[in-house]
Amino acid sequence: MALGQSWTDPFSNHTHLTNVDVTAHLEELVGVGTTPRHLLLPLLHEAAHHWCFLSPVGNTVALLNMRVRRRALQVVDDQEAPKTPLLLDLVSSRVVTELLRPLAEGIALAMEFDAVSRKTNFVSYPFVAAVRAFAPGSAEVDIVLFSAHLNEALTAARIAPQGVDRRLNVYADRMDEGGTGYLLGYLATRSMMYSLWRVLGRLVEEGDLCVGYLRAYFYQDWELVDLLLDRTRDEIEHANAIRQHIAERTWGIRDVTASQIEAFEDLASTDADMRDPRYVRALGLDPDRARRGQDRLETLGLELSQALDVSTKHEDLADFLFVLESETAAARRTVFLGSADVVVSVKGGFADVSTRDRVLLSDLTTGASDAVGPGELEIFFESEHSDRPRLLHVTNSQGLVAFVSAQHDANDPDPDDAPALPRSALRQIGAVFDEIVEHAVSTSWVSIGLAHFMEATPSVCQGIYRDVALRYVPTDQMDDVAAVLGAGGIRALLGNNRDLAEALAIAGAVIPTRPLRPLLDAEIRRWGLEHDLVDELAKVGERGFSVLDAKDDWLLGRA
Amino acid sequence: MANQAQTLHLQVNAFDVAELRELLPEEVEVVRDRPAGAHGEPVLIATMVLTPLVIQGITLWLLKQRRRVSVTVNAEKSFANGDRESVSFTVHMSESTSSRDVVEQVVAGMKLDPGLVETVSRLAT
Repeated sequence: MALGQSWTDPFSNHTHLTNVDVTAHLEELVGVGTTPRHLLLPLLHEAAHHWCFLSPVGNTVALLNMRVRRRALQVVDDQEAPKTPLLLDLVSSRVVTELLRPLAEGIALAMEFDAVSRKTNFVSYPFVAAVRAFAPGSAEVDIVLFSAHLNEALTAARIAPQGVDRRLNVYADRMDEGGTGYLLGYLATRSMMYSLWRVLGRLVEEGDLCVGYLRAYFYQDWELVDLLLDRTRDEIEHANAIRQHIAERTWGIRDVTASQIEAFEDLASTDADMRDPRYVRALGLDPDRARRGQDRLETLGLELSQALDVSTKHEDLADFLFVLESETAAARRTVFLGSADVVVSVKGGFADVSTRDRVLLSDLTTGASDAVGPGELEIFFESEHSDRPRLLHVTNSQGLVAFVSAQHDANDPDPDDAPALPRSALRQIGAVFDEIVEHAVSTSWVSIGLAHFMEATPSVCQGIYRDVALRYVPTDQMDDVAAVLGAGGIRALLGNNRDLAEALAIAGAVIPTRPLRPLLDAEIRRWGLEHDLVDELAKVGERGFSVLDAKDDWLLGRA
Repeated sequence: MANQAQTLHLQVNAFDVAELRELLPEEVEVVRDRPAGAHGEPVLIATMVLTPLVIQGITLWLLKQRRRVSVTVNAEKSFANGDRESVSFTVHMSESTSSRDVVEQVVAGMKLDPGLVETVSRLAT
């Protein structure tokens, strides 16, 4: 099992999962309910990031990033080209990405640590993807019904040593500027989930829906889209407006009503258009600003559908960029599971894909020319149809060889939808244009303006999320709790007691599906820990920050 | 000696890192492995140069986990030529497990030179 960190890029929305051995486990990776279990939490985490970035706010940031590349190329092409538009686009895309980073991590952590689905008809894209991958026998049956299988698989993964480790890493993170943002974002997200539980009690056992509402509240925020694309302010006013808006939204979560959450649940369960005015009301947005945000995003899309105008010297680069934008826009809507270097043999309209010692795929219909040589096999699935069969994309040095469904009895995808390039090539070309952006920035005054904002983001994030994370701490204990969590995280709050931290991680894993004290005691004993640690965890709340609420035999996880 | 592993990468948690650093204050480095700007999962990889002292430190650290009965170690060895080899093994322990028992399990699990068992055990005494 290779080591490393799975990740998702907010602009390209490319997901990278470590520990995916495509050549050894191809059948399991594309099968129904057969994906190796050690991938469940990483997949859920990255799919949650991907889901956030595939949203009105995420799409806006991606389009702004594309326009940044265009403007940078224009600046390189013509030193006299105006630079303020470049700075404003950079401020928009980078400042909002950094200010939402703790929240993005908090949402992904809440999905992998806490989310389960019970009776609701809402099932998030990451959950649908996970149901197909990890819940046996789910292909032909109601996805909601099979959430129960996923809940069990999740509990097992969360309570396994690697699942506990992931939670311990977050508990040990500092909450202040010296931290990574994981704990800050996770506690802020949990605090906002608690706010939603208070208005709609059944959300306690509908974590997927609760996180889904939060994701929509922030990433389907058409007011923020409107703001990001507004060009009536200078860069300082613009950055401040973004900060203020996100801060106001985090506080506004307290004003969300049960009927708004239920309206969201109905809309999201039927895949209603995200521009639907009913969504706007469900998410507490101003209709006029939301409408203007939608219009502005549409205008930006139209602008980017036009070819870039540069001198003949840079025409080839501009053409490359145009292709890159179109490929990236398509790739943003797919979750990448993994790839492998393979040998591709094409003969007489059929292709075989193999490694040195085994044939992985054979007799794929292809329009490619006869050849034998190195190629690449990629597996991905469509984000919005993550219950559908996985897709296999095969390329060689000449380009596309095959684009087929991994399930033999399923219809193959439309060949016109086939990516022209493998993701590895897309990333390499993207890196070239990112270097052009850095060059354009570093050789102009834009670098000074941008550096100013980026240096400030950690402290601005503190200002936004710390108070949200500590919203339910009594005023007289606020300073003490903030100091302890700031310098040492949950680990310090638990007195640097590893047993207590492990007990809390186990409680967090068990409670979403089995919120009963005797069941938790049994699980804690199975780990070789003392069951009275649960009492100690419940008492932590006396210090001002509750990590576990206990009433008789009923338990409620808070962190 | 050209094909001997030079560096060990261990999948750990933040508490493990603190415990390993108590035993190996100079040797343990923590790396995060993702592109700049990307959002990533909460995992930690501890990296250390593979020496008898490090094997001893890992042995003592594993002995501290005794109550778990068994500990699964997920690791990678990297070689001078850039190759990497994944190893995953489970160390079994009980109250009567000796330091040498654990050293033997670690050396075998990491597919290291069996002669290291003697070298590390001598360090331990």
